[in-house]
Amino acid sequence: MDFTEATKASRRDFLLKSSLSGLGLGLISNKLFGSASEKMNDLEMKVPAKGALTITDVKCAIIGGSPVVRITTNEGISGYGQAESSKKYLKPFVLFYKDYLLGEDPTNVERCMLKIRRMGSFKPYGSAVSIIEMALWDIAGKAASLPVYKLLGGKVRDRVRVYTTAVAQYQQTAGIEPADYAEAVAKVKALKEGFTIIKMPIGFHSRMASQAPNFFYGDPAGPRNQPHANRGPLTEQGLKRIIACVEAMKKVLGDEIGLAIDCGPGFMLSDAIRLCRSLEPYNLMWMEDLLTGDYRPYVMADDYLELTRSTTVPIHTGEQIYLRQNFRELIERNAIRVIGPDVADVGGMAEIKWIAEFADLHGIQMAPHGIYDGLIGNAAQVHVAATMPQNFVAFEYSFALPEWWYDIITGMPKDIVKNGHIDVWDRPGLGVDFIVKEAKKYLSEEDKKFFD
Amino acid sequence: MAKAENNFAIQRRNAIKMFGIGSASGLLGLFGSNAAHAAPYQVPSYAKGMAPAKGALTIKDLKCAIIGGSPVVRITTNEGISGYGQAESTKPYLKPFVLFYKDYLIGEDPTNVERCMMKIRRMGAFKPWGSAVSAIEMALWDIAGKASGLPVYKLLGGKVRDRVRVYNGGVARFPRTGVEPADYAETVARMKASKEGFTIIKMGIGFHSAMGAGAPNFFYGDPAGPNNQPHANRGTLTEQGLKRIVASVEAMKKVLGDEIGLALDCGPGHMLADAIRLANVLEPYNLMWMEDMLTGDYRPYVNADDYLELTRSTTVPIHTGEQIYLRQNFRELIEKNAVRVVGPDVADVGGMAELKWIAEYADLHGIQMAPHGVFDGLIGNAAQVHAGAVMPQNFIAFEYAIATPEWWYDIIDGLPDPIVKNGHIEVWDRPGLGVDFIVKEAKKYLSEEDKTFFD
Repeated sequence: MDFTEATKASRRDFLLKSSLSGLGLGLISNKLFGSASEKMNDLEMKVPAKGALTITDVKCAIIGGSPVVRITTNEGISGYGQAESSKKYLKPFVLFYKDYLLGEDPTNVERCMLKIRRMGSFKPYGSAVSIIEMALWDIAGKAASLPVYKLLGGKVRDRVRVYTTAVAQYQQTAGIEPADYAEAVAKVKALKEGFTIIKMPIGFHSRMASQAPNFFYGDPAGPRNQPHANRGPLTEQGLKRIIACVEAMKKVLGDEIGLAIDCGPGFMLSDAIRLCRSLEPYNLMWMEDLLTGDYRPYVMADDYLELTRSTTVPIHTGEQIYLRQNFRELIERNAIRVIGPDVADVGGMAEIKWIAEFADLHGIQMAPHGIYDGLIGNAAQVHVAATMPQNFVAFEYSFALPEWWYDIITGMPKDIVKNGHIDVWDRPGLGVDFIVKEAKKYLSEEDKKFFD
Repeated sequence: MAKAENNFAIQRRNAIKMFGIGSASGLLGLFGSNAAHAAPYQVPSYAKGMAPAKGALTIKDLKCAIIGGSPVVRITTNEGISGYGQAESTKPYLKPFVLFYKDYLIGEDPTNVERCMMKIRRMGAFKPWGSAVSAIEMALWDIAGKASGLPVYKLLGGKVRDRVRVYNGGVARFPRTGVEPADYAETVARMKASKEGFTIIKMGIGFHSAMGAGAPNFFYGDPAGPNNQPHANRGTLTEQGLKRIVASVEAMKKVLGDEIGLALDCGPGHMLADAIRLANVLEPYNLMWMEDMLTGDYRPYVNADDYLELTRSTTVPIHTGEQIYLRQNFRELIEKNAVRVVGPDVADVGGMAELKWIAEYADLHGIQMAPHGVFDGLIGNAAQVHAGAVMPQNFIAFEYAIATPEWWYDIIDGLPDPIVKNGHIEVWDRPGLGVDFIVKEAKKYLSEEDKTFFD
C-alpha cells in the first residue's frame, strides 16, 4: 500500500470507527499532505482557527501498574500515552501539568510543549511530560487521519529493529554464574520473536553486586534502597566474574546475534576502562551506563569522554537524560558512541527524533531504551524509530506487564515482532487503542471514570 | 572563643530544657566543649558516640503540610525529636512529591544524614524536582542538631562568620509598578528605605520582569499568554528593548549610588548576542551581578558553553544556578569558569551540605556565591543562615527569604527580632536549625487534610 492509499484507508477506518463531527481539521491537514493543487488551495488554512480543536481534560490512570495518560478534546478525539510500569506513583506528576494545557489546541504539539517542557527533568521527572507529548501526537495524528510518523517527517524504514533485554529469562536463573548467563541467553535466542540483539545485565546492573562474594570494595546496599544503589571499586574477582559471564554468553550467541551489556551505573572510571579493554575481543554491541545512567540526575560527560577514548567497545548511556540540552556535552564532545534516550523520559517523540539527528551529526548511534514503556510506549517507539536517520541501531522492545495488557489494546500486529523487527503500521495517530470494555475491568475504583 | 563556648553551653542547656531529652552528645565532646564533660544529664543511648547503634534513633514518619502555601516537611523520630524543612512558597503542589520519599527513609537513623541522602538523592532533579529532597535534608540536619544539642552550622564544619550578609530580592520589591525607568527608581527607593538596611538590592529586568509582556516593542516575538509557566517569554531583543533596560538600570543607580550594590535578575530568555551586548553596555554601572540571562529559573539544563561565551565577553559578573540540582550539574559551569557567581538555592540544590560543598568547589575556581532563596520561608531562611555561616570567603550574600503570608512570623519561634540588622543576620546557637513552630498558633493555619501534622 502506498502512502496515499494508506492514509485514505486509515482515514476511512477512523471515520467509521469514531463517527465524529469534528473532522474538518483532519480533512484540512490531510489535504496538506495530498496533491500539489490541493496544497495551493489550502495554504491559508495551515493554521487552524483558534478553538477549533481544544483540550478539555488531562487524565491519568494507573492500569496494571502502568501510568497511562489520556487527553480528551472538545471533538471527542482522545490521545493516549504511557510511561514505564516502574513508575506506579506518577499520577500526581501527570496531573501537575493539566492546568497549563486545558483549552490549548493539541494539534499544535510544540506550542503545548512550550508550556510544560521546562517543568520536567531527569528521570523520573521527565516522564509525565514525555507521555503527554505522546498523547498529543496521538490526537494530532487522529485529527489529521495520519499515522504519527508522517507528522514527524515520514518513515525512512518500513520495519524497525528491536533489541530485547532478557529480564524474564535472567530472573528465572540464579543469575551470577557464567552458566546462568549462558542459560538465560540460550532461552532468549530460542524465542519466536527472532531477536537479533540481546542485552544482558552484568556488574552493578545485576545481582552480582549484592550476591557475588567479594565482588567490590564496599558493602552491598540493603534491600530498601533505590534502583542501582551499589557503587564502588571492583575487586579482581569481580572483574573476572564479569568477563567469564560475557565469554559464556558469547559462546551461546556466536557472531550471529549481537550482545549488548547493561552495566550500572556504579563503576569507577578506572574499572570501567579496564573492563572495556578486557572485553574488546568479544565485539560487543555496546556497554551501557557504566558510570552514570539510570536514576542518576546528571551526565558527567567528561568521565564518559575518558572512557570512550580508551576503548574500541562502543560506550552507551542516556536513558535517564531529559531534553537535548542535557545531551549536548555528550554529543558535541563525542563523549559517547551510542545513546539511549527513552521516549517516555526524554521529553517525547519529537525530542527523541531531534536528538537522533543531533547524534547522527556527530557520528553517534541510537539504541533507545524502553523496556517498561508498555504497549502504547512501544507504539510510540515504532513510529519515531521509523523516522530516525541511519544511525539507528534498534530500540528496546517493551513487553506488556501484566500479560492481560495484550487483551485490552488493539492495533498492534498479531505477532508484534517478526525476525527481530516490527512492521510499521499506518493507522492514524499512534494506531493503537484501548478496547474500552475490556480495559475497564482493570481500572481501580479511583480511576473508574478514566474512559468516560 | 571562651564567650562563644559559654553561649553555646547556655544554648545547649536551653535545648535540653526545650526537648526534655538530655541532649549532651558524643559529638559535643568532639568540639572540645567543657560543658560536655560537666553536663550532669543522662546521655541518651543514641548519643553515646559518633555512630549510634543501629535503631537507637530512627525515623518514624515523614509528613508534609502546605501551610499558607508553603510546603513544610516534618520528620518524626522514635525519641520525640522532630525536624522541619521548608520549600518555596511557589510550590504549593509539593506534598505528593515529598511523600514519594517516605518509604525510603522510615527506620533510618536521621543523624547519619548522608546515609539517608544516599537513599533519596538520586531520585531528585532540576527545580522544582529537587526541592522535596532538599527540604528533607534540612529536616534531617535539624534532627541531627537537636539530637546532639548543636546548632546545625557546627555539624557542617563550624561557622566562619558571626553574621551573614543577605541581599534584598523580596522586601518591598513586590508589587512591581511598571516597566518605565521611573517605576524602577521608585521600587528600589522603597527597597532601600526598608528598615533592614540591605546593602545589596536585586531587581528583575528584561525577561525576568513585566517588560517581556508589558513593554511595547520589547522583543521580536509575541508575549506568551497568561497560563504559561514562569518566564515563558524568550527571544531577540529590539533596540528599544535594550535601551529600556539600560535606562531603567541608570535610573536605579541614581537612587542607590555606589553605597548600595545593585544586582539584576534578567531572565532566562535572552539570546546570547543580546546578553553580550547588554552586559557590555551596562559595564559602567559596576553591577554586583547579572543573573539568569540565558538559562536559569525553571530551565532543566545549564548550557555552560553559552555562559562561558558571555562571561568572557564582559566585566559584569555573570550569575546563574538557582534551578540546578547537585554538584554534578554545576561541574561544567564551575570547572570551565563559565560564570563568576553561582546562586544555588538551599531548598532546590539538594540541601545544606550540598550547598556548602558547592561553595567550596566554586571557591576553588575563583567563583563567588550569592545563593537564591527569596521564597524559602522562615525555616528556609534559618537553613540559609546556618549554611551561609560556614561558606568560604567567596560568599557574598544570600537572598533574604520573606515570609508570606505575614502571619508566618507569628507561628515561628527562634528568629532574631528584628531578623535583619544593617543588612545582616546574626547567627544563632540554638540546637538544630534553631527555629521551631509555636504549635498552638501554627495549628490554626492547618488545612483539614493536614490537621494531624503536628501530632
